[in-house]
Amino acid sequence: MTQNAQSETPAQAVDRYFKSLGWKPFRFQRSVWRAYQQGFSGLVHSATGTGKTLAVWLGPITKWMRENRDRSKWNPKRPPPLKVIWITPLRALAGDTESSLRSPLDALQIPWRLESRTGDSKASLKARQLKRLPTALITTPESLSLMLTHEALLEQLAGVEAVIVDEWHELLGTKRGIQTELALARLRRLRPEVRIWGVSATLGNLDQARDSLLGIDHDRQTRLIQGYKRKRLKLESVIPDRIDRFPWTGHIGTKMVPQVAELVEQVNSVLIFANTRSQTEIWYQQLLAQRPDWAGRIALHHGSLDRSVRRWVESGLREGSLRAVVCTSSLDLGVDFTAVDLVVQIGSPKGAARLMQRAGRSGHQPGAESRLAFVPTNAIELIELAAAQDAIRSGHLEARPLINKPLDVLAQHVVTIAIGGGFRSEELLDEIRSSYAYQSLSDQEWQWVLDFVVRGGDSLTAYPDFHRVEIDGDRYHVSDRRTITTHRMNIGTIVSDASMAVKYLKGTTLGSVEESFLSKLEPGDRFLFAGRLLSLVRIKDNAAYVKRATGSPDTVPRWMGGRISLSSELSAALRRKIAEAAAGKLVGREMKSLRNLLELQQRWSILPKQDELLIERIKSRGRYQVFLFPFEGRLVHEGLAALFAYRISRNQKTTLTMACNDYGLVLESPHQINFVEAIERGLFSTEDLIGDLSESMNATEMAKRQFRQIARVAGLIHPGFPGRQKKASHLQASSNLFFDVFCQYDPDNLLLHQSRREVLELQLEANRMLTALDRIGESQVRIQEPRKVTPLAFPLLVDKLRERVSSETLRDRVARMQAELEKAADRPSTGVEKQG
Amino acid sequence: MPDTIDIDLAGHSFRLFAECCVYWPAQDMLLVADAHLGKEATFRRQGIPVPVGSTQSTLSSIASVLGRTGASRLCILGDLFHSRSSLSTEVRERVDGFFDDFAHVECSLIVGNHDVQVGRLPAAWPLQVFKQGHRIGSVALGHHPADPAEGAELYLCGHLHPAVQFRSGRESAGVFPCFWHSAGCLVLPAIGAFTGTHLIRPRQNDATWFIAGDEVHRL
Repeated sequence: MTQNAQSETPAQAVDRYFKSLGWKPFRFQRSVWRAYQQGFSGLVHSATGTGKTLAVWLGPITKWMRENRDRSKWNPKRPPPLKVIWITPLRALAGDTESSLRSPLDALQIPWRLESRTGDSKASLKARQLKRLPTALITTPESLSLMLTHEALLEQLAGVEAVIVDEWHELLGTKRGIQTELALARLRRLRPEVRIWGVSATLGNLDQARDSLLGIDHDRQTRLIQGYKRKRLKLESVIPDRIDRFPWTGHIGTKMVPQVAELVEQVNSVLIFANTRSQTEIWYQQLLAQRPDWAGRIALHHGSLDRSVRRWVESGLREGSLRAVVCTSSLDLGVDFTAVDLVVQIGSPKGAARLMQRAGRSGHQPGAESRLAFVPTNAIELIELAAAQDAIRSGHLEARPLINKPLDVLAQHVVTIAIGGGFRSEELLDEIRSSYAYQSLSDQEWQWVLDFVVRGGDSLTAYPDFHRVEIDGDRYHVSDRRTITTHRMNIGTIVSDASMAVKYLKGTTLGSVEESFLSKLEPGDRFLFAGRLLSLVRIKDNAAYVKRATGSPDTVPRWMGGRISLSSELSAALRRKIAEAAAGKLVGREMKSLRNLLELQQRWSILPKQDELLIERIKSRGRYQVFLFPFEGRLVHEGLAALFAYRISRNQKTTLTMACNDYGLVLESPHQINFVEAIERGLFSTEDLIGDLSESMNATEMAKRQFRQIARVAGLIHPGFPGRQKKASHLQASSNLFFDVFCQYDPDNLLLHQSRREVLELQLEANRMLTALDRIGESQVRIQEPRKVTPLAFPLLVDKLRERVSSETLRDRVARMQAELEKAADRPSTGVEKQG
Repeated sequence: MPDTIDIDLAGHSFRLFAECCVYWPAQDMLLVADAHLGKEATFRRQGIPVPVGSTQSTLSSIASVLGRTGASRLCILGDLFHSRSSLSTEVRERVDGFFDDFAHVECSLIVGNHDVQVGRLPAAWPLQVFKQGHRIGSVALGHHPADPAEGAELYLCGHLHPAVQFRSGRESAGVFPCFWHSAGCLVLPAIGAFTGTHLIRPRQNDATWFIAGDEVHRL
């Protein structure tokens, strides 16, 4: 065989490697290799992981084999210098990536050195790498930026042949993605011929994804290559035995535990995705209660668990010792190790692309079918699945919204470059404008960022004695050791909420929970975490000490940010589904199973057509409730509810309270609101939207919170040094205080503007609201006055109630309301009948 | 719109100002705590760009109340400066200006934990320095909260930067600096414009007056 290997061509060697795996190369893989050979850069996308890693990885390998035909000169003791930088979005994935990249190297006996460099790497390894980088380096965006602060590395980095960015969709549209764009711009400057390749899930805006990755350079030859696509997708819903005509969120979910257990029984391995961490805790407990014999064979995986626990679960999945893992998006990412037989999605997937991506976690082998079972947590979610299927079929996948030129990330990058050898203003500006995110950076903005890093701000007098970046002639650089150390320690854009470790008294760490949750607990309180019932013993030294408990939990930790909004693509598909139903067309099992519910909705009110806005008005217990159904997703509805309440109360003195879900919103008041008049006076107007929104949403408070992250990224706040519990006490100040001080004494600071802009764009999704209002403005308003709460309105009513009563009373109240409504619904004429 | 409140503690009358000061008519003395002058200069020195302005703003509010009361004495209950590097040229000049404007006022400082780190102050500043527990009749002055010592009826101090938080439901409706009287000890809010706050939970029998904008209210 050695004889054989000596004479074969690189292409034959690769074929032989594939054959040893029982595969042969896909056509798209060959296209990538060819494009790579010809010097192209590009983006490879497909819904699932099939073969994308090998497509991009074997490009540089085969090229090297072509250039080094003489195998006798291959010497593993003298590996070639740096050729490939491989960027992975999660440092926890670096280990898995390393082993999956190593396997072809070993099989083909390529004498490359492959190493990782992340925040977890040993200091001795990092020090050695500073002298000589391996042939292929696996790293994270943060570690790559850090490398750019080492002037000594620049010469080696300038020799790089390819940069490969894995799971680009995970970085795209985030500040980490922007950080990556800037680092790539720097590498392109160091090595103009560098090939950049990315691997991404299929998105609605692939062209932008490619341009963000490859930068603005019209001479650069780029490719967008679709990966393996023939994988069959089988989506099925677990339809409850009995559909409540009055559904509410979170209710039927755990009722479905037996059905889910049955599904798990039928196959060898299952991933069960839930939308929030608290949901995973609950489902894990319920599954165990249903099947106690599965103890040790099912597990829990979410981002707050200790890393050792997560690694144990991941390896259990890989080795097949686990039957099922209940997880959050924490397992959305990952190298091809989680090839399971079935994926279960609990609750709304919130987006079509997301659903497709998750389904792709099953049936990884080429040719295998992906299977996803959808478990609705309320009946209406079945419409969402039907809508998602339509969206997938027609290719209407979500676009990833991008961030436009955030100055905080730029300021950090400029200091990075100033430390790593320094720069001249025009040269660096050119380089930065070659990135997609900063192509429209104005000269003034650039000057402000320079002033900010040099003297704190654009005013000559506001920041005496402050120095970060120095100017020597036309060269910007940093020489102060302390500035360098502080900057290196704080590089990155990940800002997490203050969290506390959860530990047993003996010291074993279970994971970490947000401080805001723990601070509400008293010693002795029982809560579900990491799949166990725990009781709090005490909080000491930034750790919560716990012990095992028995009985029932008082609470489940709720993590912030768990509430994702329905995507605009899925919202649009949902509206189409409702309109179809309005026309009497029920397509598919999901829609058919909802026949009773939809018919009742139509009997008591209407189902809105595509160009209609449904408004239902109901009076109960002396309070007036107005339900609006724009079907635009929770986030947009939250904004709209606040906006409407603000605009109504400007003309009419009343108190309004509200609740929202992905389908609509409810406004409640003690007085009757004249809606027709309110609409005529511009309730849905887009005029002065930003002003009204800022007034109504307490935008200042939100901007303060947003500023925390911006201040941290821009280097205004240092979270401190690793391993040190408290930072130097004389440098303590909260971000709120910073925000106030800047507002008062440097109100034109562009970082303040950025925080306000980010609130509007990222938190309030002002653009989506604008589109929604435009659409609503053109719709025909259908005001209905049903005698009773309709199936569409019922979940909103429950959410409204949820604010006032405890969960136990809520369950009882809701059950009573449901029973009454069901009784009314069975009487055919109730819609117009006067209640006796 | 009460921008002051008159109170009586242990037989002594005081006037609380929304500027976080206490005026003591019997002694014609204005008391303030925790000015932390030059804190922003310290931040800049450490590489954190905080704009100038808060030191001047703190001095201006003291000056304004000194002007309104016509007090002939001023006592700072500790933490006049933030740290050694707070005494930047710019800050010194502003403090010089303050002492020039109020040359007729007798100024004293009770040493606080930050003052210890600051070390010696410029000799030109007309500032008498006292240790914690300085007595004026039956009233003791200090920096750290403590029980009134033997023979003292009342203890005035700072250090805590006390504030109260109001809630509506789960949402915070705001944090307000406050004067806090508890067990014979009156804690002043921090007067410094660039200082944080520490939330307190008043106990029964405590008296608390909070500051909302330019108004003082009894809780």
